[in-house]
Amino acid sequence: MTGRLAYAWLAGSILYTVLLWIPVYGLALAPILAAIGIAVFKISPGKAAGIGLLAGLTGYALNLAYTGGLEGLRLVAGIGGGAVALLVVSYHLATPALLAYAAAYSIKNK
Amino acid sequence: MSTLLPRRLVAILAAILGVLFLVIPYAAPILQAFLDPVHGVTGAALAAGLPSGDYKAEVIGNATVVWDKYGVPHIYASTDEAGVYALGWVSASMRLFQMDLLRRIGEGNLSALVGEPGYDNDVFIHSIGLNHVIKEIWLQIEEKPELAKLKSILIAYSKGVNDYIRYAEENNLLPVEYRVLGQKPAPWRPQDTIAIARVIALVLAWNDEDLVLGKLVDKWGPQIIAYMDMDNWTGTLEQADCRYAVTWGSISLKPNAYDYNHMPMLGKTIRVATSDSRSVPPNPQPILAWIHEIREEWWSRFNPLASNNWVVSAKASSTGKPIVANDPHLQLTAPPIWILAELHTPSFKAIGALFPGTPLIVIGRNQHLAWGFTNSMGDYTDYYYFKWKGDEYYYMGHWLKANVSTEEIKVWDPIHRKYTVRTLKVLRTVDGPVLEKNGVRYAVRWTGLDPSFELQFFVELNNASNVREAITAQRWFHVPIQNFVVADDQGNIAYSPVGAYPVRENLPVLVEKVNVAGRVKGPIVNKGYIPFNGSRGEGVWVRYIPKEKLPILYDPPIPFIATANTKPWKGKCGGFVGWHYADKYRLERITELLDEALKDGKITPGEVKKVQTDYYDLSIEDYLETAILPYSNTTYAQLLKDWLSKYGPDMDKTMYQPTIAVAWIYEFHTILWKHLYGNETNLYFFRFHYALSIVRAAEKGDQYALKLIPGGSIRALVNESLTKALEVLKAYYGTSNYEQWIYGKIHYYYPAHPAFPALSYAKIPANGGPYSINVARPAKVDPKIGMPVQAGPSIRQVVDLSAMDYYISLPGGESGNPFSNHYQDIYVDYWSRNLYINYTLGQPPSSYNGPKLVFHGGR
Repeated sequence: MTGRLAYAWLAGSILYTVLLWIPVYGLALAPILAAIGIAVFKISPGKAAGIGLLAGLTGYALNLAYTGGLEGLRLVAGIGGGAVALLVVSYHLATPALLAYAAAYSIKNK
Repeated sequence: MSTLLPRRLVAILAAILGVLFLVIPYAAPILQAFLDPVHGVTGAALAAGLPSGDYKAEVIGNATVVWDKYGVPHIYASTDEAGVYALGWVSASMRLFQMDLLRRIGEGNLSALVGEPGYDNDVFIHSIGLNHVIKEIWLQIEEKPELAKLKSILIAYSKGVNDYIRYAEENNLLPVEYRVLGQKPAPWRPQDTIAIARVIALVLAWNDEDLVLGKLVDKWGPQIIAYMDMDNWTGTLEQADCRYAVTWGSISLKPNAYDYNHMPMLGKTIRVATSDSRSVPPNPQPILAWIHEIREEWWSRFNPLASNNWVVSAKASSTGKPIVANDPHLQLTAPPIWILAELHTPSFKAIGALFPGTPLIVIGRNQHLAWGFTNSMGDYTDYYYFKWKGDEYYYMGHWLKANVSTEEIKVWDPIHRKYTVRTLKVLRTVDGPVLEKNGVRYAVRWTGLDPSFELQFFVELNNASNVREAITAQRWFHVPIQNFVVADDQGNIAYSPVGAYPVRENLPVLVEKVNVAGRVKGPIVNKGYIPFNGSRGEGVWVRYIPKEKLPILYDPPIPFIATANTKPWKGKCGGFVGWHYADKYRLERITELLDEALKDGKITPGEVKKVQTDYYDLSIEDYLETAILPYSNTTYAQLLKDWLSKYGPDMDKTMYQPTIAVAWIYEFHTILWKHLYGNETNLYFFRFHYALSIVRAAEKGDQYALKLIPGGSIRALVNESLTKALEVLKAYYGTSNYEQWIYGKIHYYYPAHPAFPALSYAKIPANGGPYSINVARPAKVDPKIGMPVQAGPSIRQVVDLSAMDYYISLPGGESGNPFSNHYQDIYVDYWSRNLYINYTLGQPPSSYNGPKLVFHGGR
C-alpha cells in the first residue's frame, strides 16, 4: 500500500510539474492528468485527495524553485496583504486534490 | 466526510469544484498571471540575471557589452549604429516595461496597455495633439538631410529594442507587468523615442500654475500677485549676472536651426478688440484636477521638484580644470527614472545617465566635456478662455467655427483581455488646441507643440569636443528649456539657458497700482500669470525671442556658476521669461559653501561632493525666523531658537528639533494655503517665498495682507499650526516626549513601487529638508506614515575634467526587475550613504568582470 501511495505521489508530482510548463493550457492540464495519474494506482478517494494535495504542493514548489523560488511568491505576497499568495498556494493544492478524489472514486466504482 | 455525505455525492462535488477551479483562470485571465508559476507573475524571477552570450544584430558593425558589478553596461562598438543598437537591447533588458509606459504616455495610447487608469492621460494627449506632433517630428527627421545621423541612430536603437523583445518572448523573460496585464510589448519605433523625449518636455515645461493663480486672482483680486511678490521676486537669488552675459549668437558657430517665423504655436499680431466680448474665465478646477491626477499617476516620476548644478572654473578648481556637478531632483521611485551606461563608438565616447528608451547620454561626460541640467522654470504655456456657442467661439467681434477632429483611443480590459475603442472630439482655436473637462474649455499654447529636434542636440553634445560646440548644438534646443551648464578640458565654462521663449502681445493691465505695506507696485500686467481672454485676442504669442540674442555666460570672470531653478538673470538682459521660480535657498547655500571653500584656497572635487550632499536647510531658518518664532513663546519655539543658534538649520536625522521644525512649518504653510486657495490641492504651487511675502506685509499691518492670513492673525495661525503639528507627532511617535521625536524615524527615504508596495525599496532614515542642497522633501506630514521623502536627487554626478573620472550615484539600481541583484543596490550601498561610484571613462572592457554580451552585425 505504501508503495502504491509513493508511486501515485511520484506520478502525480511529475505530471503536475511538467504540465505546468505548457503555456496557456498547462494550468488546466496539470491537475487533470495528475489526478488521473494518481487514481490509476487504485487507491481510495480520500488517500487520492491527500496525494493530489501533496503532488500539487510538490509540482508548484518545483516550478517556483526553477522560476525564482519563493522570491516569486514575495511579489504576490505584496498584494492584498498576503491573501492573494494564500489563494494562489491553495489553488495549487486544492485543484489536484479535488480532481484526484473524483478520479479515484470514478475508477474504483467503474 | 463519507459518514456525513455519501461518497458518490462527495465525488460529484469534488469533480464540480475541481472543474470550476480549472475554468476560473480562463474565465478571468488575469488570474492566470498569478496562478501560472512558469509564465505568470512568479516566473518573472527568471529574467533577473544579466543577459550574456553572442547574438546576431541587424546593423552594420559589432558591439560588445560588459556588465560591471552594479549591472551598468559598458558598450564598445565598431560603429555608432552598433553601439546604439546594443544600448537599445540592454536598456530593454533592464527597463522594457518602463520604456513602454513612457512612450505610451507621450503617444496617448497608455490605456491600450494598462486599461482605464491610462485613459485620462490619453484624452489629454489627444486633446493637445501631441501624438500628431510626435509623428510630424519623425517625418521631418526622415526628410531632413542634416538629421540623417539622428535618423540612423533612432532606427538602430529601435532594432536593438525589438531584438531584445523577440529574445525575451522566446525565452519567457518578459517583465512581470506584461504577465499581469496579459499583454505583449508592441514593436519599438523611432517615434517612440521621440515620444519619450516629448514626455520629458511635457512634464518639465508644461505649466498649470496659470490656472492655479487664476483661481487665486478670482478670489482675492490681482493684487495678490504683488503681495506674493511674483511680479519681481525681490529677495530671491538670480543665477547669472547680466554684466557678464554675451549673446548665444556670438558664441555659436551656426545659426538657430528653426525658422521662428513659421513655428506652429505662434499666432498673428493683432490689435486689441474694441468690442466687449463679456466672456469670463470659467472655473478651471476640472482641468486642474485632471492634470493633477495625470501628474500624480503617470508623470510623477519626472515632476520637476528641484535640481542643482554648478560648474567651478579652471582657475578656482584645485585640479586646474573645471569641475561640473549636477543633481536633478525628481520623485524617488522604484525603479528610478534614469539608467547609467557608458558608450564607446567612433563618434560617441561618453558615460552618464539617460532615460530608458533614449539612445544617448543625457547627463554625463565625454572625453572633453561634462554637462548638467536644471529645469529653467520659465513660462512656456498659456491658457485662453473664450465665449462658446456649441463649437463656435467668439473672437475679436466674430463667431468662428472651431476646427473639429475626431480621435480614437483604444482601451484594454486586463480582466477580460479585450479592447474597446472610444472616440474623442477635439477642438482647435486660433489660440491652439482645447482642453475640455466637465464642460470647461481652455485653449492652450505650449512650446512643446512645435515640431523640434532636441535629440539632435544630444547627438551633437555627446560628440562635442569643447564648450563652444556644445553651445552650437543648442541651435536644436526648443523645449524644455534647461539651465545648461557645461565645461571642457580646455578650461572653458558656460551657462546657457537657450530655447524657445514666447513673446506675448496684447497684454491686459490687471491693476494699475498696488500698495504693498507702503511700497507702491504696479501696474500689474498679465504677462502670462493667469489665463488670457482669448475672445479679446489677449496674450497672443507673436514670436519667440531670437535665439541669437539670448544671453548666456561664456567663460565669465567668476569662480563658479550655479543654478537651482531660481530666476535666471540678475539685471535686464534676460527680459521676462517666467514668474514661478524655485525658492532661493538651495542656490544661497551652494553659493555660501563654494565661497567658503574658496576662502581656504581652491575648490576640490571632494569639496564639491560635500556641497552636493550638504543637508543644512536655509528655508527652515528663514521660515521659522520670519513667520513662526517671533509669534510664539512656547517651549517648542524656545528649543527651536536654541537649536538654530547652536547648530543652524542642521537637518540631522539623529536630532529631534528638525522634526518639530518641519511639522510646524508644514502645518503653517498648509493652513495658510487652504485659506487662500480654498482647499489643500496644488500645495506644490505655494512657494515659501509667496507665504513669507504675505507674512512680511501682514506684520506691517497691511490690511489686505491681514485678510490673506486666516483670522487676520499671524499669532493665531502659529498657535493653530503648532497644535496640529504636535497632534500629528504625538500620534506618530506614540509619545509626548519630544526628545524621542528623532527626525530619521519620521523622515525617511522609501522609493515606492507604483503597483506593489512589497517591491518598494528599503526604508532608510534621511537627513535634509525641503530646500537643503541634498534635498529630501517630504510630501506630507502624516500621523500614520510620517514624512516619507517624496523628492530627492535622481542622480548625483560630479566630474573633474582634469582626468577621465566620473563620480555618479543613483537612488535605485539598473534593473527594473524586483528579483534582480541590481534592483536597488546603488541606492542602498551608495546613494543613501552619500557615496559615489567612481568610473573612469574609457577603461578597457577587460577591467570589468561581469557577464559579456556580443552583437555581431553585418559589414
